[in-house]
Amino acid sequence: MNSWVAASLWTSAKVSLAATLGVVVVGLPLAWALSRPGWRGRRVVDVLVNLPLVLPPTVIGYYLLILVSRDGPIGKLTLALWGSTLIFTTAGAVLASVVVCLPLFVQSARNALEAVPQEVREAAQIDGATQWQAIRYILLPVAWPGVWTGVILALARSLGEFGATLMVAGNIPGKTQTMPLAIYAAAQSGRDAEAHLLALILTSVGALAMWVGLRWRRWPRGGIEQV
Amino acid sequence: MVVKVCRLAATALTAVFLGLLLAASAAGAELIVSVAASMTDVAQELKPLFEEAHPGVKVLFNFGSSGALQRQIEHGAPVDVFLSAAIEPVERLLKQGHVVPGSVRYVAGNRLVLIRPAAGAASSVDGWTSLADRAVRSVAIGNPHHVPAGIYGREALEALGLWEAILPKLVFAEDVRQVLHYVRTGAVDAGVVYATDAATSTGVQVVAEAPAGSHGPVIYPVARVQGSRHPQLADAFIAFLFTQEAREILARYGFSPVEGHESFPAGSP
Repeated sequence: MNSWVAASLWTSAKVSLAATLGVVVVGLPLAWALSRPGWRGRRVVDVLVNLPLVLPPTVIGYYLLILVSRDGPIGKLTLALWGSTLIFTTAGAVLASVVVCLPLFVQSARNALEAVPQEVREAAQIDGATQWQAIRYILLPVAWPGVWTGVILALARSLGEFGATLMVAGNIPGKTQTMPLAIYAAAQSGRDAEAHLLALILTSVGALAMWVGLRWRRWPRGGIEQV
Repeated sequence: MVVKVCRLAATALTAVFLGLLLAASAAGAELIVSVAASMTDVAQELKPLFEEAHPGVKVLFNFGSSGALQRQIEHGAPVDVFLSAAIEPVERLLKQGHVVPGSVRYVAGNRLVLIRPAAGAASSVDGWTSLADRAVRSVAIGNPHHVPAGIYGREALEALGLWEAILPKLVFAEDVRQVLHYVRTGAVDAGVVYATDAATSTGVQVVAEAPAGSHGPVIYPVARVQGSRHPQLADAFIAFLFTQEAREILARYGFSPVEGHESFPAGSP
């Protein structure tokens, strides 16, 4: 196999896994907050989180590029911390992927959390559960299938992410070239056989990840089954 | 347990980020060259030759459309050399002070050609004027509003006096590769692409070249980016593009030499 193919597969795996982790870390508190009714600014946050679904990824990438550039807020921060910007780095690719994939996870997790019947929460409260216990033993196990589906959606989307990544992280073989970017590069230069091979591999990796991932849609430790 | 998972996730994420940063800082002399997508193949072939002549140097290519590459440089992407598929992006960067004025040179030129599918012998496309024939039903060209190959294509067709006649048959594509794809798969009867694109595919046949002077010059300029961390290496790479060795490879991919490539007329002091 072409070393180019292997390198882009490895880059894709790294970026997608890191991005999915990032999405969960940022998205779970967001989903939880959005599933709670009646706080100020809820709708604003809701709209902001979902905006990346509306914009073409290249446009998201362009705005991210401005944010992470020398004069942008994120760029100033990373320059102060590490002396470099995120442009052309794998971390930049991860950031782009997180922004694009976040709404998919938040939507799915939030719906699942909202679908937990009020009586179940109240019952936990009456039985003297603290809020944390209610989340840990009631809310999460019941909402788990939806939350986990969100994780799989985010992973799948980040495997296919193209536009935003291209803008922020560039398309550098062996460094920031993910599989979708490698497919683009191969197609651009007329190496169709290679493009098809890459597309086939990307499809297989995505299908495999979902196949394995979807088996964990049930809360692992018995406990409460779907209400 | 959830706390543990969250903590673990946060730790893992931090580890990944730190790892990536370490990996980035540990590397040696890396020359980052942003290359227009249409030069992907030829750049890949040039890379080992340059690295061989400069031991310890690693050339990293960043491929994209010239416009996207220009914007990355505008926003401080750590690029050393910019190889563009059009003069305009380089001119713009020059005006903003993002490329070094004296470093700009013309690397190569390209020509427009008329192509038809190689398969299916009974094609009625045998020259530019045949496009007006009734037997020719569709002709693909890049969108003349923003795709460079389409802008040049329109100029050529207008110069040939064919534009009005074939306008209803035209299929606009979003990039020149799409034109190539339409023609190769037989979705259209003919298409207008660059000579270098036609050279990459055995599925198409070149029918004719655009007459000299029928369209504006297609030129690939190169420039050193302002603030490059390896200015000598960047200049060496630019000079390398004009060696006999590099010229031969460029010619093999269908690129033509440019007259007066030693200087950059527009905007240089």
